Amino acid sequence: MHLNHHTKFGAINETSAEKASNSYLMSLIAIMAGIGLPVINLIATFIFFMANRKGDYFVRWHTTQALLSQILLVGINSTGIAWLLTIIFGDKSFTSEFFAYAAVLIIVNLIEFIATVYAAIQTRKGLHVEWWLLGPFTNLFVRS
Amino acid sequence: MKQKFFIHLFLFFMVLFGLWFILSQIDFRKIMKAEERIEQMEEKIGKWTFRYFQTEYDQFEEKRLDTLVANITRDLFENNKFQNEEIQIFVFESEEINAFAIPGKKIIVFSGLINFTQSEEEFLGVIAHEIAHIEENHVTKKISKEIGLSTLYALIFASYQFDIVKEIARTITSTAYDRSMEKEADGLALNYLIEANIDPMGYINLLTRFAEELDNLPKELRLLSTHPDSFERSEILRESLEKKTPASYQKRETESWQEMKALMSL
Repeated sequence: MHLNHHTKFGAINETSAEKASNSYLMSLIAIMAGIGLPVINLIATFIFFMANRKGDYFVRWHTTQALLSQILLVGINSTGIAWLLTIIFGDKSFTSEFFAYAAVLIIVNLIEFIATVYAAIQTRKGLHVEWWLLGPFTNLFVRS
Repeated sequence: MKQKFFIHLFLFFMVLFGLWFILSQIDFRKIMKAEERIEQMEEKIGKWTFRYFQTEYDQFEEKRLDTLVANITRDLFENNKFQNEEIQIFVFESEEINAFAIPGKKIIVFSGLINFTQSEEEFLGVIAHEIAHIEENHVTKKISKEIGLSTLYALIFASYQFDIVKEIARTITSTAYDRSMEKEADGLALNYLIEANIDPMGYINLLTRFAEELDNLPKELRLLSTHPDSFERSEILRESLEKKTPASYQKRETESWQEMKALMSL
């Protein structure tokens, strides 16, 4: 993750900064509500993305980055949940591979959580935050 | 830009995979004492469930019965290297036509089932099937599916919980295993019987008879009918038996079997 001070977004007004910051907060909504369902985050972020798809470049860029991070996370988490369900209800058993996956899953979720909080704070200040993984992909999607 | 994204994505998944691979070299099960805990849990639930059956049903008191069961099952155990000390068989008085494995490697057979069987081979087929459930750990899997794994783990630290044990007993006696588990246990039972030179047709015929005759029985005696599709299972076994090398089997009619049948009918 790195800060992009030579902003390509021009002057960022207060409303845009708030909306961009909120897009990241949306992806934390389930955690804040204490619900253990990661898909809620994806839905909340998606709704926010749809509501702001006609917003200015800065807002669209950050709602997209937040949405992409949730899609990635839901993919990784769902695999873990599916694996766990096959163990509980199927004929698989708890293996070292499963525990290793669970550990990786926790690490990825933690990194994503920290990055999201950081991005929410920075964008609220009107600063652009481009994540190492999803930044280039977001640039492909969002045109100025 | 596109290239940059794919490089980053590739690196990301490589790091994830690498991390997963390195971590999977750690024996988490050993660190978490998983085996030890599962064994503890099974032993405790096994004891409780057995206690429950002892209070709900009359166990045959005759010590002679233990010897008879051991004699009848000796070939099955010895030829398949099962340990008598590990897997124990108990006979309880009940008209229910049922036999089942409980946690702790115990098999409970109701006298109703022994009366229902028409040959020693049929009885041994049922025992082989239940041993297969034990060997494949189906019992714990089935209970944890019905009761919940977390509840079972919590029981390690709990004292005798009648309600939970009753629920476990109900799960064991009246609900079926998964179709796949039943088929797996049938397949293994077939191998065990062949290995011990016991005619597997006895077990196959028993399954067919279940399908045919259980419909004529009073509802409360039909517990074994919850085993799904006895007829279909017997057909599958018949087919897989045909694929194996043909063998001739001697009809079993040991004195122990005759004595046990006589005891049951008293």
